Amino acid sequence: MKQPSSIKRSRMVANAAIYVLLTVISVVWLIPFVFILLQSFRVENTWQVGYVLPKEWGIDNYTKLFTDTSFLKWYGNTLIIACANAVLQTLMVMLMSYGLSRLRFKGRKLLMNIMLILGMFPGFLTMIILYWVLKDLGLTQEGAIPGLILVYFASSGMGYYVSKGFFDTIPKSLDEAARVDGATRFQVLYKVTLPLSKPIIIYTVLTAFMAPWADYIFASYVAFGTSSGYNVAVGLYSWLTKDMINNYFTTFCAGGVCVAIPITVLFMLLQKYYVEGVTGGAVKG
Amino acid sequence: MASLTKISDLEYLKLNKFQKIICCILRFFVSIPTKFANLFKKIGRGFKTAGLAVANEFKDICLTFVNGDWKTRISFVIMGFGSIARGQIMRGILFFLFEVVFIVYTALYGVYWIGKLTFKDLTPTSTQMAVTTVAGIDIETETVVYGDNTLQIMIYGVLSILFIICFIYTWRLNIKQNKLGQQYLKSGKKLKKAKDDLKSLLDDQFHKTVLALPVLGIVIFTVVPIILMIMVAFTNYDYNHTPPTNLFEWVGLDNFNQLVTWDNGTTGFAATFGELLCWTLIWAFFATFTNYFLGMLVAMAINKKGIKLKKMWRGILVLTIAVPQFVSLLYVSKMFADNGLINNKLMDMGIISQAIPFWTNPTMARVMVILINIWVGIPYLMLITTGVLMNIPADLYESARIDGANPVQQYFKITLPYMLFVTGPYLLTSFTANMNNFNVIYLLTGGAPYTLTDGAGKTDLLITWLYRLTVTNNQYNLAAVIGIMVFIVVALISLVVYNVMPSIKNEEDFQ
Amino acid sequence: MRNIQKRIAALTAASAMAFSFVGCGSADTTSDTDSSSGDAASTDSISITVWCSENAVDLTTTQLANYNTENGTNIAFTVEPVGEGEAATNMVTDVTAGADVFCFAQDQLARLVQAGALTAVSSSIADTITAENDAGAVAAATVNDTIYAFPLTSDNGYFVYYDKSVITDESVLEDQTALIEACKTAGKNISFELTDSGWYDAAYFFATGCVSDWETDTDGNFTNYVDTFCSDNGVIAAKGIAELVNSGVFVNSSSAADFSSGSAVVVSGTWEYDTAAGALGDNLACAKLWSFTVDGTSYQLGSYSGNKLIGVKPQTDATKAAYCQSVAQYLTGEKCQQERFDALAWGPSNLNVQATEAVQQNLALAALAEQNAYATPQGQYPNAWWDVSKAIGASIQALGTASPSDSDLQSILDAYQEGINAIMNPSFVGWVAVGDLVGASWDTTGGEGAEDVAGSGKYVISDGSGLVGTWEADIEIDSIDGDAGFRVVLYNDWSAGSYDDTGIGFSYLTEGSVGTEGNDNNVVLDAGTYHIILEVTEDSASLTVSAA
Repeated sequence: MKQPSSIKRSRMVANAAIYVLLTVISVVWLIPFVFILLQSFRVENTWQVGYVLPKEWGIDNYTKLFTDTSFLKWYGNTLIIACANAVLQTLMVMLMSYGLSRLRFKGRKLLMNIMLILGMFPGFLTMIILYWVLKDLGLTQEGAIPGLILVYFASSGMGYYVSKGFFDTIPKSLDEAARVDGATRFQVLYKVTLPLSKPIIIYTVLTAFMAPWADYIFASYVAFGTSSGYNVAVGLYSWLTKDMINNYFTTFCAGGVCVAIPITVLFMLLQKYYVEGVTGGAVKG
Repeated sequence: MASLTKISDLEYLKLNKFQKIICCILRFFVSIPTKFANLFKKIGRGFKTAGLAVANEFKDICLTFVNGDWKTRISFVIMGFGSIARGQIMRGILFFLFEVVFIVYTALYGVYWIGKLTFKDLTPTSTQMAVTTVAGIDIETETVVYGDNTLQIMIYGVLSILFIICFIYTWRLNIKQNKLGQQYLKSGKKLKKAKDDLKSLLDDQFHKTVLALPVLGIVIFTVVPIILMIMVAFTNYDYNHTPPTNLFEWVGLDNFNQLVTWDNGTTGFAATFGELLCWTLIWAFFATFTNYFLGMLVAMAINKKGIKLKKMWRGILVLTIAVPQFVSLLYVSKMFADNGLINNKLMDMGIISQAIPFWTNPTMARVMVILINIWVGIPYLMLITTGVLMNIPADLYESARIDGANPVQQYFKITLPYMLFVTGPYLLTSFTANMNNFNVIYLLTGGAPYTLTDGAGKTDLLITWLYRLTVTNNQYNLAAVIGIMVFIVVALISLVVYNVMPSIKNEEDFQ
Repeated sequence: MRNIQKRIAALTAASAMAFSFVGCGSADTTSDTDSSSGDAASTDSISITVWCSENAVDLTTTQLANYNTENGTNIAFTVEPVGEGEAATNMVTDVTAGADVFCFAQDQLARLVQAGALTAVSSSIADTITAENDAGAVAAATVNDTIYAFPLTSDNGYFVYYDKSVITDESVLEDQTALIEACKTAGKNISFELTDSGWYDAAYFFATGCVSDWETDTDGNFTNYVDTFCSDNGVIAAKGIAELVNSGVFVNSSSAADFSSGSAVVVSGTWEYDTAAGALGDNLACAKLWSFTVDGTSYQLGSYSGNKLIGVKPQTDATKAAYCQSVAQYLTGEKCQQERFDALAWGPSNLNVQATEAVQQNLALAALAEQNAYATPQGQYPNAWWDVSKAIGASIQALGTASPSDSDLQSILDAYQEGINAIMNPSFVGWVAVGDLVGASWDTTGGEGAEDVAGSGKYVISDGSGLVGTWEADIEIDSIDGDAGFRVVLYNDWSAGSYDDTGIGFSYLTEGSVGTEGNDNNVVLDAGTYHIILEVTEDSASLTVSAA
């Protein structure tokens, strides 16, 4: 009888230690977000200060954000990009990963190797070229939004790894059984694979939706000089220049909070699928 | 140790895990010369095969013409004629239309662009003087007439060449179609109708339907730009030569020379490149492995039996993924500044008397970016490892417990090997991804402290330096060279790792 | 069977084609202008894009509306917020997508001219500009005697903001050591952006008489420079920087928001005035920069004085081009500068506005004016110079001590020198005089070799147009360990200085009445300033040296 109770006790000690660890971690992880949130409610001045708690609370920064600035326009732009990207990129990634995972054809390995090699080139090496290509298509400056959507989704098939990994885990025997029953490959996809793929589709949609909110580099390159073509990141970033930051720092924080809220909510709601998708897929690379 | 490379397979199996890994690595390095030799042999063989294939193609084309009926022969000039004549109307029309479009395009534009690719005899940008009266003042103006744009020439030249290659390929298909059609009819088989073609697209040929769009996108928006950027590495496209005003030219290997000349500091940027490469590798190593192990640790802690509120813990961590980095990292960066929150609070509390130089001391800045990267990376790793941990068969632990293994032993005997095996490929990809991890460095330090010349700082990765060369300094030629170098480094590392890690090769293992 | 492949191919090609068609279209549209001179009848079809910094957008929009009313025009204006810093980078990236009229900081002028992003100002307007603005502003808008831009402000310099309640004794503002002590006692910091900005670092170098002057040709290409940061005086300046950055009260920042986070002194420009006033209220005071003392000698900190400018991009349409210039002139005219001072407190470049009482009594502008007595007008620098120079401050801080050794500081300046050597266009073909005597022979082997004529760097003698010609230059030779001298070598190719490498075939350079002949092209002489004349023809070369 003694043995189990000592095990129990040591487990309790271990668990207590873990709780302490997790609490510490949580605090460290939350601090920046809490601070940003607090800054966004600071009224007494608009620049960075050396203290955390506002001396005067209020929603002035949010009022300024929505009335005095183009924030809503940028927000709308980003939302359009994000939604379009969520649909189109998911389509591309799903097609590519399904094809590579479930179908066997000549040149499959070659295709995967080529994409692996292409992926080794640093991402924005080609930025200047893409800029000029988009410009000739009329998709820069005022046309930056469709331009960005095009660039985001067009080569997104290269990011097939996670979802291919997921498809790989779906037993092949299911496909074969359906084929024996006379189903075409299209029917196999439609009737067998798709229903099993909910987690990975949600995962892909979620990542595709989130990415455009954070893209500053390419978005600023494509939309320069045209504030109506900015996305949220470029717009907010433009307040951080030397002559802007002192007037806009707290507004920047408010903007950051507004960007973070919907993504966080979405993420929390769909977390289960995200985890299923990523664990089903990422480990297989 | 050297003997490890010569042991038999049976002996290999007897080794412990660590020795096995050492053995694999040693074997890999020992085999490098042979591999190189094989590579050259392979290339040689490849050339031979390719040569033979081309010869065969030519032979086949000639034979098709000689043996072909009149429909086939006309198809050599008028594409799709044979198909139409044999009743495959849809195919025929597509072939024919393609040919018309090609001829029109090439005659009107293709030849023009390709001809200009030498960058010789271009029309430079010129100016004209004019005088206009505005508000009573005569204003002399210099209006500009933009001439050729070398960048545009490069883009359309390359696209035109690609188009020609496509055409040759299609023309060859057209010949093959004729040959097959002729054979089929001769042997009494029926030719496929458009309807059959469409059907096969959803079945036998389903991969073509599925992959067409993604591959097309990749070709146009990744392959073509990379080809063009590689070409830029051979030009003098920089701030002095920005088209359309100042056209750039071909300069051969000059840019690469600049990289390798390590002389009296007047031209070469090899020293800076070398230093940044070292730091990039150190960074990638630490960023990958600190995240990996700590992430696993956190995941195990949350998943431990008896820990409550699992969802909440995970949720808190996941916030870092959900909040855009340009907001969170910029804020964190300010927090640690000389006059930032952390220093201020510590000074107020009297713990330190002067600011800790988080970002200004090179070593400390490097440590800081790695530490903060942990903050960024753990949530991802936590999510990934959570799933894998749950997949480890419980009976493994059960039997270990019966054998009397304590939790630490269980971790090293079961959890870690299993994780390493399953997530090996992920480790590789995240290592290369970290080498190109732009956001963390750019948003936290922007490369500072800037104690290096050539515009690079102590925390700059090659990729952030590349960015600055491109965007701030408009030195596209050097950026292209560095980009190619980064590619070579990443490719070499991947090659080594792929050869050491066996798990990557067995793609089918999991199915 | 195989028709899918065909379709993929067709699709690829079709998209390739779609691109190409579009490309042709845009290629054709670029050569359709041949407008003649004449009066502009209607302005309905003219639309002009203007870039200015975000806080000036509203004011600029109003001013542009006024322009339309006053001139009876109907130009469609678009005002976009693009910061002065970014504007130049964006313009260089793609001139055709840039704004027609844009604000930028003067240090970008050469870069913009070089990239073909600026059009020369009409001589009819240029005279007005010269007459109405201060001389520094006019110089700042000039490249090789041609005015390329319209002066917008004369306030792009820095001075000291301080907290009167902390720095009660104004005399400590005179001396760096005293100031550091005062701040230490008060537990406050000094904000000075020394570790990531060459713009601020230069204050110390100017204090000790160092210079960094860069010359450009008419196209804005850099042809020559005199840079003495890497010198004995440079080491003194570096000591001054070291004392501050490693004092423990140093904060690398130029933001007046620092007053809210522990700084009592902030070195910055007029753009921070509002923030400083907001943070300190009545405790805000402004002053010129302080002095620092090394080895008993006191050096008053210098600074850059600079301007914001408005530029007009080259246009394809003459009428629009004329209106762009007219608009730029209007925006930089007396009335608009006055409005800008009233609304945004931007320091005017217009002489009449400068003379108004309000401007004279402005706290920040008064301090700036006081500092301007020690300021160096900011000339043109290659963009890369800013990258190279900002490494000085950070490197000194990395030494970690307030009194580093001379050799440590010297090696930082050597690295700087190496950096600027690399900046000049490598395709420059010409001659330079360099020197570094090590023992009895010239050291041209390693990185430390040729470029540091002790204390004076190198002298570019010829104009870059080629190897053949006649040039004259004054050079200053210092001695190392009792030896002094110099050597003439090819620009950017130090090792090729001896006649064997040049391929021209001169035997060696003969010296004049002073100095003795060393090996190769070397001239050994006493430390001092010399006038040299270099004559190189296809088959001979000679060097005449005389004491200057």
